[in-house]
Amino acid sequence: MTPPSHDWSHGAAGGEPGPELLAAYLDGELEGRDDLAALRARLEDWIACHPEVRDEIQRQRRLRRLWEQTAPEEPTAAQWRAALSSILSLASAGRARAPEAPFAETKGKAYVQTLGLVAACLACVVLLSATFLSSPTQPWSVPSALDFYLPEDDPFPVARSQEVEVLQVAGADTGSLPIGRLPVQGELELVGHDDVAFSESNARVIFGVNSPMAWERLRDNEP
Amino acid sequence: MLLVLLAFSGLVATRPAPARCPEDKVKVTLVVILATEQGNFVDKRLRKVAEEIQKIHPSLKSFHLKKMTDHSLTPGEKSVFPLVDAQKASIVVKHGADKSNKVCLAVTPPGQDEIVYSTVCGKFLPIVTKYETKNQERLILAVMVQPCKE
Repeated sequence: MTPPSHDWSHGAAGGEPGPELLAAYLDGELEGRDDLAALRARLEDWIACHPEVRDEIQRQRRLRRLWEQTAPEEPTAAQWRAALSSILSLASAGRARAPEAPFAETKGKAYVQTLGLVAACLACVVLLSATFLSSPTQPWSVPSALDFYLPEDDPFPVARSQEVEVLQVAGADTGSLPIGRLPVQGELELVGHDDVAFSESNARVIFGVNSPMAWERLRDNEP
Repeated sequence: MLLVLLAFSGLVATRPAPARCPEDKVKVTLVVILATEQGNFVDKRLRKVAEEIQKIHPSLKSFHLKKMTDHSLTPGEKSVFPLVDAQKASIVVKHGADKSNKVCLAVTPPGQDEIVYSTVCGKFLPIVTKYETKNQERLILAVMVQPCKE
């Protein structure tokens, strides 16, 4: 199965988070994860600028709270034992009745069928309760989107470069950041003469050989 | 989970573009450079900057990259960039990419008047300021903006 990616570029219209990432965010899978803090912050900024998505997230959260509040309690072991005992004893009593009266036989069969139906309904309730309330924090039994991305045997997952944006760094420290997009990658490319136009400037503009620059003279020997 | 995915798929596909949000911002990159007349060290990232400046003022021999900073600004928003020695520069994006695909900026170096210019994206404009540190290092700024229209 192709792992669902939470790379931003896999979103529907480029520059948008994909549905899997939004679902993971709704499920709280980005919470409490320092390695995903930058991704979570970026996603929250994007959500803040998209009111429809924000409203949908709130509606989904309200639905989840309602589901959790109205889910029936799981029967206790004692209740299960009592129900089973009752069923077995009634089933035994039905088999022990004299079969000569057709009416009585029909009535006995109806008892067994009814009890069987009740037992089946109880079993369904128990199964649904166990499925949806298996964990207070993860009501859904399907794997989370991030389970596909993060290998279980990697206790310290490393962020990818596109997940980290370095906003400020000293020039001497850039070598200590093997991951992350720096403000400047590689050599600085300068504007050409046709690339820039000055206006309302009191600074002297010097047109160098290949590149113009603004230059405030400090000493007399400067141009 | 499946229902949630379906809900969000439809929402992402059909939502209209919002007005003032990260898509409207301009990322301004400021590089702080210190140049001196001593030594002979040129940071390899500053090779072209050093070449251009030395053609005009050959006495500046060494160029060190002190700091690089990114700020994302909406048009009209002013941002203050810390430099060295508690000096600051302020930058205002006057407007994003226009018809000629140029962004207009106003840069105010320390102790100087505002410099207003329009520039293409992805390339740096050197600004040689008149500020010098106590070690006689000349403060040079290099400013770049992104993005422009494709």
